[in-house]
Amino acid sequence: MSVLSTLGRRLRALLRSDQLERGLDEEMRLHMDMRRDRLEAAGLSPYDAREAARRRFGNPLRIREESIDAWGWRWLEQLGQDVRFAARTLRKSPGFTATVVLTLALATGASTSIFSVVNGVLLRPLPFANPDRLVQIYGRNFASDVGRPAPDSVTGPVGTIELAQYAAQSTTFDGFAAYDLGTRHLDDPDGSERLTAVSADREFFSVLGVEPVAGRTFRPDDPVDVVVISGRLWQRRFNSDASVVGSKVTLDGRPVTIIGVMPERFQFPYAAASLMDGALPESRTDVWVPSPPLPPLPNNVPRRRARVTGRLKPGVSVDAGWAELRVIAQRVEDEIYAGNGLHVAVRVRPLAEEVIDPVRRSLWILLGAVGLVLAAACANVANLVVARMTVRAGEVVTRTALGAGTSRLVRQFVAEGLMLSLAGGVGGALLAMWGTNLLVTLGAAKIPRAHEVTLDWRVFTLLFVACVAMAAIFGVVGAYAASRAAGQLAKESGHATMGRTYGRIRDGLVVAEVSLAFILAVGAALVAREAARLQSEPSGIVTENVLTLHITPRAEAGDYYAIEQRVAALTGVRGAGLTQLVPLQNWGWNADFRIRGRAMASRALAGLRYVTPGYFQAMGIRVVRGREFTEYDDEAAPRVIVVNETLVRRYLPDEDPIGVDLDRGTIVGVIRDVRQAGLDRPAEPEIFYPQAQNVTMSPDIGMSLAVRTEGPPEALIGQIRRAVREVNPRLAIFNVKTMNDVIADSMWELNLYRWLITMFATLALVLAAIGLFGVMSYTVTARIREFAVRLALGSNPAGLGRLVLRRGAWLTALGLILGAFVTEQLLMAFGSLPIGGRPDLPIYLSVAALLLMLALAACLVPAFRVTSVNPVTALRQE
Amino acid sequence: MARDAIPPGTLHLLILRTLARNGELHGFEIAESIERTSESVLVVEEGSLYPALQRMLVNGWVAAEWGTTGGNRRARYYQITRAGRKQLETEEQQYLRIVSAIARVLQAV
Repeated sequence: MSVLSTLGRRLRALLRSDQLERGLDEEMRLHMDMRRDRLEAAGLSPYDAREAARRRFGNPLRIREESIDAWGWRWLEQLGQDVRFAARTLRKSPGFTATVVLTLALATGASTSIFSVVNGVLLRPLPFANPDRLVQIYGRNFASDVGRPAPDSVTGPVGTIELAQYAAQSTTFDGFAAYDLGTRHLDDPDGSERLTAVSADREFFSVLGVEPVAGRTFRPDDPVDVVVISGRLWQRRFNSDASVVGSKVTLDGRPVTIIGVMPERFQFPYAAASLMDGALPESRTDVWVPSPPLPPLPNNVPRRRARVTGRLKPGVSVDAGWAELRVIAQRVEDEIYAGNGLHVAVRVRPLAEEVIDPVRRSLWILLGAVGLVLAAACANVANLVVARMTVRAGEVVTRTALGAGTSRLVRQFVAEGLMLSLAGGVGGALLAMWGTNLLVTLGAAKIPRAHEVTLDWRVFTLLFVACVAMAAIFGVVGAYAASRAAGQLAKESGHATMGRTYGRIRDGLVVAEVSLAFILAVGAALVAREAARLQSEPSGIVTENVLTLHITPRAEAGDYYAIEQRVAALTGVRGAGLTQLVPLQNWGWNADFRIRGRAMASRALAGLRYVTPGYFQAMGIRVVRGREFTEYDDEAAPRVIVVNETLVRRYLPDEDPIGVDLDRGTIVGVIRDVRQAGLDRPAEPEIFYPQAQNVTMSPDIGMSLAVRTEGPPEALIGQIRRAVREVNPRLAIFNVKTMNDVIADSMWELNLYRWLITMFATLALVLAAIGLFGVMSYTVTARIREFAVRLALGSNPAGLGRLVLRRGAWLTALGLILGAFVTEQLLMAFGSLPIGGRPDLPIYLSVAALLLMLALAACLVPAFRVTSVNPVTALRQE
Repeated sequence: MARDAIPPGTLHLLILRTLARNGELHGFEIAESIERTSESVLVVEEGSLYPALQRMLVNGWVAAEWGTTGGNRRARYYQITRAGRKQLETEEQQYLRIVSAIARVLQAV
């Protein structure tokens, strides 16, 4: 209490320090005047009276200072002086200041950005109640004659029959939630909007343990015509109006009631992006609707399969839960599927693993890379500060001579360091905000949980405090170094150089910087090599002048055929066709198949694609045998399929595949392989159906149209849109992209890493160059007299220049050797990198050459200075 | 007439007591009052009053307010606060204890 009020009084005094000083002056003047009057009245002459009054009062200046000191703000005033002084000094060497501030800002900003993403995505627990009890459950049904799949390969959805048994029999689970992805169209008078929809069990929200921000979530007795909307949709479409709960909206032409709004951060399932991207411009789920009831089918026929998340009971391990589900799955096989010989595989793993696994390694490696940059930046700043102190020995001597105490000297250096780190910290904070936002925006569709990432202020503060501590240490070390140098200077009245030790420290720092730059540059080269390799990879399709666009909602096959014909008939169009999965944009839809009349040695799996007859022509996919589809391959005609070369190679290697009967149709043609899942993934067996014969499995999300044109395809967008509308006015076009853009997007992840790693490597290279430049410049300055003497004695100037260059090259070479050694050690510790494989000799050599060139360039200026030393001036200066 | 500088550490005590007795005083009046009541034995180095007053302001033992003197000049008038009275009591007791102890030592036979 009294401490606080004392502090309050002090602060008031601080704020009104002018008033305080003026008041004191007035008071003291009054005192002396009154004393003088009193003495005059006692008979002294006016002069004597004034002098006597002064004597009795004492030294007013000292008293004034003492009075002001009473308030305890002296240190602040001195700090102000130190800071002003530091600012002046730093302004005088803008090159040094800018380099240090920029280095600190870039290093702290970049590391904080990357760490914020790592923290938000990998480290923070999932935003659900007790997230460690949530698991993802995978399943697979397989026929008895193909062998049980390896546990890790079970990654598919779970059949509803098994799921019902898990829910009924399990004692280790609190509950299961099954869900599926799809789209819904929100109709209102202003037009229709396509939404990403998740149809989920009524238990979905309670299993996850999430609460709505308004209204409620599903109840067990909810009818199907209710919907829970996302926070984002709520803001965008309903202005965050709470009264929207309870109102009706039209989804796919049917009125449904909004029962609740989820918080903006809630996005589940996370994988919505990767499963449906391309077809969807946004990765976010907009609405959750209750799953429709199952169609009535015999109980032992597998029906719908769904993605399933489960909640374990408290204290139950993942393995225990898994073991129990395996037992139940066995029971399902024995009791329910007994008749049809189906087997059930099941797999359980922590939900967090399922969510973050795809990016875990890459993000850690990025964090490691940025850590190296941070280390290089620290080395560089240390280097610069130590170098600067050594040349300031003269200044220190002067200030010591003028009466500056050691503590004051140290304080001034610390103030300087503080200013530098503050400026760097502010720059870093701005950069971190920008960088984090950029990463989140770039990664929104691909990095799971990207929407949960926020700038991590704690990390930033930690980094910042580290910077400040570093500044303080360097300030103290610097002041110590400088005062020692000053002592030498004073004693010898000669030139001051730092001792051998300091030179060694600086050399060591430079070697470290070069090796860090080498490691990062090797990483960048690896990623670049990988990108180049992928780009030269044959995709199996023509990518020039091909436009892809998505047509929704789902329509009749007749509509698709009509659209194909109309678009193909447009002038400038060389081919048009529809597919449900554009290559390199989406994939999936794998299914078993059998060759009729043969026992299969192993499970045969193929991707299922539904296309219209013009599709192969539009994408420039070559038919290597047999024929394409025609419009006569319709519902009435016999089932026909086209397969790819990989399927033939794998399952029909020694025969003519044309005419072979599969349980999915008769093969009428073979096409060349197309990279469907990614340029880095080999083609998988594929089976193509004509869309007209695909009656049951037409994808909910509509189909994509591919159009190959003679000129730039963008010019035709308007006409294509009109053609689609003419066929069916209910259909809308989304996600218009050229095939080249689709390919660029498919390399998004690699490109992001390439971009970041290249940036980090460049930064490290620049830092190393600055470090070398600094060390060499300093060496030259310190030895200038020696060089002058040598020159005067007839040395060749060029030879002296080479001496400097040789030293720079020597330090660089040490750094390179160290860097290569550490790289090899890292590779041994971590195995191969997730992308890019192992570095080979050409990569090592080219990176080394690049660094050596850069190093020599950095040493050129100092070397040139040596050759242009004028011996007379140089010797006289000393 | 013999004049003595005040013993170290007692200036606060003297100021507080003076203010407690007289109510509001400005700096010069405090100095005069101390001198007068000590019958001119104690001489305050007049300037040193002011740092002492500032320290007491910081501690909240006195409060100050600007007013006007009889000669119509602006002056800062000091007044003892409740905390100041408490402080006065403590310091007074402490002082008397020490003085009597010293006196006992000196008078011991």
